[in-house]
Amino acid sequence: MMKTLAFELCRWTAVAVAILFIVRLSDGFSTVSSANPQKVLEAAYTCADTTNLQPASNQIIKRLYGIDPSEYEFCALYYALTNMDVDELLLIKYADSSQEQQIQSAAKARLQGQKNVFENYGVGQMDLLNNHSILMSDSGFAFFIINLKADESAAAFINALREEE
Amino acid sequence: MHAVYNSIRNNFACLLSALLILIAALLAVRLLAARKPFSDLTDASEGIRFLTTAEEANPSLADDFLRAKKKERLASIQRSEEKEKLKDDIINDRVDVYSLFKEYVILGDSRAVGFSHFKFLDHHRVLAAGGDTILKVRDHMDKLKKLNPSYIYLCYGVNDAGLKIGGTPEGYAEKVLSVINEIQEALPEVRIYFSSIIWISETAEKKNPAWGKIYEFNNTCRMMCTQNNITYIDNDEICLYLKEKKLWSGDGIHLSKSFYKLWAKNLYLATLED
Repeated sequence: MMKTLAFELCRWTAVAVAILFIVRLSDGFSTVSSANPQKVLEAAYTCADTTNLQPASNQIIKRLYGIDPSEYEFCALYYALTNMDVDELLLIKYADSSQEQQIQSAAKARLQGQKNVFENYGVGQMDLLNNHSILMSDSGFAFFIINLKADESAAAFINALREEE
Repeated sequence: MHAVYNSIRNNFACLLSALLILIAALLAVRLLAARKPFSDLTDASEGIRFLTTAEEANPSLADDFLRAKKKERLASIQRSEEKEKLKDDIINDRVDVYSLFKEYVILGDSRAVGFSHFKFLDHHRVLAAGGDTILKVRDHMDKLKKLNPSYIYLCYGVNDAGLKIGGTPEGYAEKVLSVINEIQEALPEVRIYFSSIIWISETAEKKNPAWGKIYEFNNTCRMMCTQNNITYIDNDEICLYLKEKKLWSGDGIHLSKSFYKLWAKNLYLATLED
């Protein structure tokens, strides 16, 4: 009888563990990071080369990217201090795939626009645009950077997304 | 005792099985509804997706959608045709270009003054004076907010180049951008146009070699405008005509009355293209 009881106890414990595992696994299917967008931005900004960066107002974001920051939960841009520099860092938290596509299109258009301006004119600028620009989306966030330390900043962005709020 | 235990165990087993099935069902629903972390960027337009589901649900919905889309396309074509006709009318003087200027302000120097001096445009909307540079815009901010125009034309340059505002052509472009940003902050909905600096005569250029930089000032401002999605109104073509027909006034800097219509056309056509 004790053996039967012990066996039953083990069996139900296994079931309880399986349930807990399934519930925990369901959290992993979440596609949106719960990280604080401001902290994600700070992490990415800190790892970038900020020498030539200044914060942009919503008006400037609208003008440069054609997107309305008020339509997003979080939208921030750092852009170049002077017209001869091309450094930029854009971070947006989007709600759905159509917003994601809009941001991707806007960022690609921005990158191409800058390339058109500096082609045959600015060697340093073209190097940054061609070799030090990253555009990515992950866990509900879109990230776009043109910067000498684009790789480091992108890595910081990804790591920050994994941190719980 | 054993029977009671078995009974309890069986009931519990049933309850637990039901719970497991419920959890599995909820997870299945959640997984199916979950957004992908990286979306498929191949473009399946909203219209096509709607049609695919709407047709299955209700064929007349798809028809309505198609009709609405067709109407939209026709309206767009009509607007485009009207725009082309207006452009043609403006270029061929079949319409008074000055009558088309609505909800605008022209900011500028003594050359821009001509628009009001010759009574082509309302002097309340031409905020210009002799000696003014792009930096003067800041003094006009209160008036701009009161007028709340839809369009602002920046018509500076001759004094800016002569006084080397910004130090270099690149520095000048920075100043212009800074001013434009300030205007945009104060009037978020306004469209701002930078009118390239009208050339001066070679005779006048000899009096002040700094005016020889006008072409460089225009080039850097053109680049700055392109980078920042600001409309640059290129006046080179009308300046060639200005040069050919010598449409300056006696000093080779200011403009004769007959030039202003060309300039106004260029300004307005840029708005139309926008």
